[in-house]
Amino acid sequence: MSGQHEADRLREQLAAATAATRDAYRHTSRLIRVLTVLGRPSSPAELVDETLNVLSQIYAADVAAMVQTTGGRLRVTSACGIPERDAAYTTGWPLAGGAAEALATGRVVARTGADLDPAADLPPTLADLAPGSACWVPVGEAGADELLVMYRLSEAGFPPGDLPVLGSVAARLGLAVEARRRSAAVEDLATFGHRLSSRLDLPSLYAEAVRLLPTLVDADHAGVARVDGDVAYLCAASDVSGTPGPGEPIPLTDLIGWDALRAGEPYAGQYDGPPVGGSVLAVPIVREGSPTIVLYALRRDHRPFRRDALESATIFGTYVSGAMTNAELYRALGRSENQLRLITDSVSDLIAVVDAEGRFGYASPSHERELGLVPQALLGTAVIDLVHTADRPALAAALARPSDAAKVEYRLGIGEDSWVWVESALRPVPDEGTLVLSSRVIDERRRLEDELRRRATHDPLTDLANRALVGERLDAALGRDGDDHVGLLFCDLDKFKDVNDRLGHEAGDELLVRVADRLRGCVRSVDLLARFGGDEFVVLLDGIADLDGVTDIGDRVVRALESPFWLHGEWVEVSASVGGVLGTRGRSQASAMLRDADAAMYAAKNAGRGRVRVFDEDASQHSLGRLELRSDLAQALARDELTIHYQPIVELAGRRIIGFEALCRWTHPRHGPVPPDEFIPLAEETGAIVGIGEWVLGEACRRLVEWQRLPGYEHLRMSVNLSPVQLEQPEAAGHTLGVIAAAGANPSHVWLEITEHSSIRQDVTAFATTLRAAGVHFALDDFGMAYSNLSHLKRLPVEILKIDKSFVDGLAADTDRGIVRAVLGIADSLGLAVVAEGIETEEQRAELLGLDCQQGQGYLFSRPIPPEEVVALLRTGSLIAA
Amino acid sequence: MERLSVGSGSSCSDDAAVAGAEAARAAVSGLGGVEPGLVIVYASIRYAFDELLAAVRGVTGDVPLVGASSSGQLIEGEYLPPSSGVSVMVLGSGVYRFGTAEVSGIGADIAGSGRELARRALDAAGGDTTPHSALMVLADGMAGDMQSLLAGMYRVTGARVPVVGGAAGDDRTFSGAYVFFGDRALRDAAVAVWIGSDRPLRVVAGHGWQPQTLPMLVTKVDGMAVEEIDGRPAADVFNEAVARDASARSEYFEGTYEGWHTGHSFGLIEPDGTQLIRGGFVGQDGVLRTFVPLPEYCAVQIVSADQDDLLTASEQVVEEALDGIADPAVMLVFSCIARSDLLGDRAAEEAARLHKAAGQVATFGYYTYGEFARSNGVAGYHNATLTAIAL
Repeated sequence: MSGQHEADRLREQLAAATAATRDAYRHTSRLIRVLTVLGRPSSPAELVDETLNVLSQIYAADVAAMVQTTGGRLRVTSACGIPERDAAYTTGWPLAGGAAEALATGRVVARTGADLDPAADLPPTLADLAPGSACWVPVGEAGADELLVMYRLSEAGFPPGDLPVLGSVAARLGLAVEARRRSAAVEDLATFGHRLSSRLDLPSLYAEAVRLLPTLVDADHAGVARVDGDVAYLCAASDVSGTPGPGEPIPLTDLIGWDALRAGEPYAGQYDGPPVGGSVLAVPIVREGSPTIVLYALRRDHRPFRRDALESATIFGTYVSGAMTNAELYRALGRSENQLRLITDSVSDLIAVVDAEGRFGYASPSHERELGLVPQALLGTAVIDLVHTADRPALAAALARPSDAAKVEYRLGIGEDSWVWVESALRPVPDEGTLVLSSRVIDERRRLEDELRRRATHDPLTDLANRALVGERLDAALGRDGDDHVGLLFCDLDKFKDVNDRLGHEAGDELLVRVADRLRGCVRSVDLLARFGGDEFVVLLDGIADLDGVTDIGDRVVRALESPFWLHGEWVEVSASVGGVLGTRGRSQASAMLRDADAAMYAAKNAGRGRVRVFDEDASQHSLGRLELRSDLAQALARDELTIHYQPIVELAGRRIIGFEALCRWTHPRHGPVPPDEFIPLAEETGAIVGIGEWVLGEACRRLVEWQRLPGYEHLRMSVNLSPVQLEQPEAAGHTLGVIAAAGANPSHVWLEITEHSSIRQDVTAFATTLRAAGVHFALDDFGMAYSNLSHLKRLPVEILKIDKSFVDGLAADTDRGIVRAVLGIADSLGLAVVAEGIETEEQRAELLGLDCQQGQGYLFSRPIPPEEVVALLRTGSLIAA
Repeated sequence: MERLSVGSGSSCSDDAAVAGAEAARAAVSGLGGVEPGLVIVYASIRYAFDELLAAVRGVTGDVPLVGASSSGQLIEGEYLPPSSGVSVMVLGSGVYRFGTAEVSGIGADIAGSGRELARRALDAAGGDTTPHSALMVLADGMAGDMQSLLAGMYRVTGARVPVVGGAAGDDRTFSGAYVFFGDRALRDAAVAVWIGSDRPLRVVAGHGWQPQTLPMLVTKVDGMAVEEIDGRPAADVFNEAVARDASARSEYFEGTYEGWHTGHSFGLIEPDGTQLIRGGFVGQDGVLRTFVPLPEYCAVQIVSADQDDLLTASEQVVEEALDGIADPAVMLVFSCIARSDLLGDRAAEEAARLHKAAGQVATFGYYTYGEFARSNGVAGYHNATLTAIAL
């Protein structure tokens, strides 16, 4: 019996312990469940709905509602458990009892059973529900006007321990809703600004404004009133029923909120009709010191307009005002030639009217100010005659079909052999057959583009061509028809490293410059001499008979370096190992030639210094383990040889980690680590990049989701490089989104980095637009390394430019700092952020900050690290230098 | 208040038109001449529904009709196993005010559909004019998260109106379920009946499942897949609990089909400490799944049930549903297919014991893929549970 007794006792204890654990789990999981909802992406309305649902579930609350004070009453703005047609949403509840106390004190109030005062605590619409307990939670500090309210039938009440938790939930809910409302408004404003400015006559501008304003401020109706002397006239309304007719004067004193409006202030308040009652928001558009237009928004349900709505509407008002100026100017333009002159005289843009034959009929005085061209002298001259011959076809095409060409860029002659770049917008004048040319001088931008293009194609040290230009020219040469061949020489300086080590980098650089000079003297004028970085020189021989011809020039290179160089007070001897290959036009691949010439050069080096080796096709085929590497690469993913390292992207000012760039690494089972710039091109050649890229994106997104769970990193972002080859896949956009979704990542935290090279492809625009619409962001990688036309940037939804390390390296030099400043200026004007790559020193960080570059990455902060180290880094920030 | 007239009938004829007409005729004859107000049809998916519904309406005329495909039916103490027949109940008019409605395409916007369905039903009933109301809903449960459908309805009904009903079945083939509205059988849809009443209406639920583990926290969820419990792989935790429980019992029942062992489920710990049941199973791919997404970071226990517990719970549900209801005529019940699986050879006992416990009150119901019973707060979608309302 005692054994049985003991067993019963133990069973009871177990049951009690289980019940206690159950309670503990239930309590602890409550806040987490609500916070999970708060962190999920959704619209403000969905967020409130979902939060109220979860609160109802976790507290078994029959009613969970958000209420707001309006005109001394509490109006329900959103609820779970109150029927949608209940008067609580319109006329509201009396402000009394626990609600009044919670609002006055800013503290949570909870009452249950006999403590509930049916008269004060229970609103009439809930009386027959007979709640047994209730709590009122202020959203924000004392004086806030919003409450989270819950009622339960049960008299069990809301646990006192939970009340502070509910307070913080309500506060976070308030903040989250406000933040989301703001960001939605910012997005709306960005779109609406464009829509308003496209309206060039006032009636359609006002009509557009009343269409857009209700969406912006969540209102039912909008109207526009025009102030004229002591009266106002309604000139547009989204619902005209019961409103004064368009010609019917309204005394200003009858305008809702006129006292505030006349002082230039927006107004928000309640109005009880006629013609309709509700909450009113009014924003004046002030010109010359007094309101000329008033924008009205109305909510029939009396929900008050909050500060954020007022702010948004005020900004909207400035957009309307700007669009009004445009529309008035446009109207003025049409009025008469005299007025046209008056306006165009005062603007700095070059305004010209050309007739159907393309001759100047009018040129604004700014032509003389900006270009030194006397307007009177231009009249009757054909525009095309002033244009650089190379640019004439583009302009002629634009003049012929102005509706097809929004803008055209060309060089305008301003004197003998003196040209300026201008950009013209063409607008046909209806029924007249004439065109208005509105032009700007874009010399500075073109200069910058030229500079970027030169930098993108040339080695800054020797001013020789770089790898990109060789690739481009080699492609072009192989693509041309011809009976002759294309040769390629790879020249590597022997023992260059010794010179560098012994005499220092400066001497090394000087030697490279001198070597370049000598090589210039030994190649043919048609050959392209290039430096691929380090001590590697390349000669492209466009037009050579056979392999012997390649060998001849290779020998000339070797001989050119035979005599020693006088460097820093001593004679320095260098030699070159030269590898050469011969390519057949229309058949050979540029990448294969580069690879094989490289291999031939190594064969020359292995044979002893100062040698030339040329590979025929057979030799090329068997030359190098590259082929092996190619096939190994195809298996690398399946064999788990690929890993991803993550380099933090930080805010330069506070060094806070805001994201990571995912970088793929390959450890070959025999050769060890293979550098990415070696295996990525191979992967692109073989198409293996598609699988690898997808794996990297999926893996990085999964990591992102994992790391975002760490406190404070909910908004962490992940940058992943996208190869041009991936973009060529069918349905690349849908596929990419699928990978992100499968990893459970929020697309708006994913940044795809595309290179400038890939971004100029036509199909990328559609790809990027689709992904951007789904939330994915785009960054342009290696900015300044290959780009040739800044106007492309406007076509892509790129939000970040990544400045290449080479610019950052050169920050100490004035020229480079100028370039970086210019790039930042362009980025700023296009509304783009800039991330600087390869920051290695504190000085560079300071320089970049001084130039207002806010974000960056580099060894100064952290090298790329394996994922295992990321969590520790995020938790402690220990790798971030203080 | 007068007593509701009800009549019911069933048929297992192979011919859809014959089966529909037989069952409907039997049901109408039970009304004793009272004008029909609402027709409820539950049927096996073996029938061509357009023929079946046309045959029923050939008897009932254009009286509002709602219904669902089922995985077995319970009618007046009789159990019709899956793939056998059709049951029809006709409720007389005059005592309650019925407003029927349907909404299609629910999968695209499940909460919005719930809201729209309740609105339409309310409008069809002529508005919320009676002192008391309830909403009966039948839905294609495979179209989405039924708790969201309920949340949408809650925005319209508010806390005062209880909700009862079930997700349609398909004879356990998982080939697709249907709801019926008038003469149409609809997929990806839901139908509802707003029941306006002069006397209080109550919805009850019970299940008989017992917790077998200590409480745990679901720490990672991806849709229907439960990935982690207490930070460990969820399938491991689930399998361990099942194995431990199985070895501790002398008698062990486990309904199975397609690798789904119905003997164990999740019990979501409710605010009052009770368990809201969520079916769970480890698929052939080793992934632990549920039929309704578990909220992330919810507290759960793994529960199991034996046959006697399940049957006792049925009786308790009847008693509770009838308690204090003046002169009830019919008990509409919604029992989960998982319960009949677990009951195995004793599946027919549930219908019989429900009927006996209900005494003079008619019983009518079907085996579902999920049950609605919302009384307190927004939560109210169940699995492996019996829900009921007495009218």
